Amino acid sequence: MSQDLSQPPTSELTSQRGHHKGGLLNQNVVGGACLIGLAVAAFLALGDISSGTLRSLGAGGMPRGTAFLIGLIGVGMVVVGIFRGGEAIPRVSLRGPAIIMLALIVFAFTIRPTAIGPVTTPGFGIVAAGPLAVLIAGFAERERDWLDLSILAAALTAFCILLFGYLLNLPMPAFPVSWLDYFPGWTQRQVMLVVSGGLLIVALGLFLIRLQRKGDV
Amino acid sequence: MDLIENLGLGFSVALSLQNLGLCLLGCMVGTLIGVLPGVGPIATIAMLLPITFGLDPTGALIMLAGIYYGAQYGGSTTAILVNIPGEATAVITTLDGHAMARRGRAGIALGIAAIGSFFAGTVATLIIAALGRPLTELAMLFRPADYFSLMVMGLVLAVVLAGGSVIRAVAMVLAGVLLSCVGTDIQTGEARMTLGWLTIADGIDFSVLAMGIFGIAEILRNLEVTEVRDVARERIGRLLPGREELSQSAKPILRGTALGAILGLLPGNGAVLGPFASYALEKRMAKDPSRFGQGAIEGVAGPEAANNAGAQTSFIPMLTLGIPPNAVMALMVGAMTIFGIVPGPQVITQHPQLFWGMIASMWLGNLMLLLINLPLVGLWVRLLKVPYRLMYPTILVFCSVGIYSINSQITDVLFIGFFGYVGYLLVKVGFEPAPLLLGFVLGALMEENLRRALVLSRGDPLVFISSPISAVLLLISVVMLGLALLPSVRRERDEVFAEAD
Repeated sequence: MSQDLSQPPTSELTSQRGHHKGGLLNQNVVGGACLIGLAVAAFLALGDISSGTLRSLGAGGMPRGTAFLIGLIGVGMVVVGIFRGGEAIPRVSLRGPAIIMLALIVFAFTIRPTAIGPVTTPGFGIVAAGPLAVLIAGFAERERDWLDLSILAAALTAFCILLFGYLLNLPMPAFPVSWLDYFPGWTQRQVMLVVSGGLLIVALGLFLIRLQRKGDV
Repeated sequence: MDLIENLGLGFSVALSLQNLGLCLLGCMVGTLIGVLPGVGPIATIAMLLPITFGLDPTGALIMLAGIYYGAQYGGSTTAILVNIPGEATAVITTLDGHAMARRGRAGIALGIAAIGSFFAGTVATLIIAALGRPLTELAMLFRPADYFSLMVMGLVLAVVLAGGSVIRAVAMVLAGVLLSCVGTDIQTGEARMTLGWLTIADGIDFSVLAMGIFGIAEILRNLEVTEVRDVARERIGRLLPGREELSQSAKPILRGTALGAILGLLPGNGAVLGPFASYALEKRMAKDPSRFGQGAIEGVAGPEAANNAGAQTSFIPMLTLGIPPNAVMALMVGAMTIFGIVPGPQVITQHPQLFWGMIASMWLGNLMLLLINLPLVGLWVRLLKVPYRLMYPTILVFCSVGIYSINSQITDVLFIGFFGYVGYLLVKVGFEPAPLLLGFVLGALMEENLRRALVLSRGDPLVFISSPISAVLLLISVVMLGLALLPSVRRERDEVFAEAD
């Protein structure tokens, strides 16, 4: 649940003498390899930035020192992992994360127009990006109830427009700019109210349908 | 008296209509999310950071603090009613709290938890107020070398006292420090590790990292778990404990408060250890220990008091020294930095209204939790019925909208996805993300003090040993680290934390 420091996923590296459960690709070997990779990447990314001298530490000093220590721990973990084994790596699921990432990407590219090479994505604002993200994210679970998700999508989007756009006045596109043409003389904030009101009505309507369905069953 | 004067200033700040409202809002939102199983306080605060950015720093921190102890409180409600700890510090409450609920005494369990928490919160607030000034005055004597060593010690203690692999946690702290180096170097203006990419020229955004490795990664992990909820069907019953129940709980509450307050001061997970220590103590002191686990009221009163006392006193290292002892405090430090407040001993003199206002608001927040939450318990029970399949899209959209609203950068939205996936994979290979955040938050300050110390000593690295304060701090770090890695101590440490699991 909470990611406090308290919940150790594994025990200490070396306390697993005799437990070769993970095979060669155990947490120690893979984890250590990741650390080595991170250290090497840092050294490469630092390029020729000067580490300076002790008297006047350059921009590269601290990151290089840190990367060196990370690499050292990585090597140690790999060695321990090869000779003493380690915990097996739990199954990494593909479906859930992939769908959540997709939902985030769709959100990012529908909230405002963005040029990717020759193509410019449509900028719909939260009014479309929010529901799209909710509905796509819904696929991450094996079972889903479209009606419930749609109610959530509409109500949550209205809530976000009201909270972030209207109340907190944060700069964010709530709806496509072209919609302002339909409301000549209206300010953006007034249209926000109309849009979120519309969404709430949709949510309410869907909720009534849900109630009725439950009544039928 | 100085203390009363300062608290007076604090209350005058905290009692302003706006701050009172924000405190209430924070407590309510915190309880709401703390009640929901599957969303911890760290993810909550990370998720809600953007909404506080429009406020003034004092109001924002008051609200964030409210979210934190509100979540602690909500976690206990879930622990008692559903047998799932809403968050880590409520684990122990599930034992006797839920047993009480099964016997139709859920209301009494909730009531005594609230009263115990309130008492502990009051005492802890006074402790913070009393320790605040002396500790900062002590810290004012620190020179750059000492401050660097203090941060090293803080990180070492956080790692050693937190359970889990020490070496892996050290690696994560270092990775956090490394990430904090990305971007333009403040002293030379050189772009470090940006690969010429302008998006990260200003460094990696704190809220993006926190929201990714806590908010999004938590969703990815929870999607793999099929949840089972066992909401107590019995009626909640009367909430206010009777005289006998109160007298039974009085001493456990006192002892729990003392234990929790002391353990909460320690970096790492003092706040988590408190309830366990208190439970063990009460069980040992009881005339009939077999009642524990069967719904002993002492097993709820003591740990709940310890839990809340620890949660409050863990603010002390953060507020007075600028050293976050755990991930929640790292988020607070990050929020302060975003508001342009450099965390450290100077906060108390440069922003007294923030420092004392926050302390006063903690007591007010505890009072609000006591007064508001007990009557609203029916509402929280209903919330428990919200299934996770509706919660995670909500968190996802809230995170996306929130992070976008900070800088209007779509890359930020993509970045929380990236860091979320990284956080998910890290846990798979056995790394905890919390130390990474600690390292990230302290990285810039550490580098600055390291460089300054070396300039002052004309390049002599022995300055860290020749300064007595620094030498002592480093010695403690080395001894603690060495001890934690000794096989015999390690075994015992593993046992302590295994019990805590």
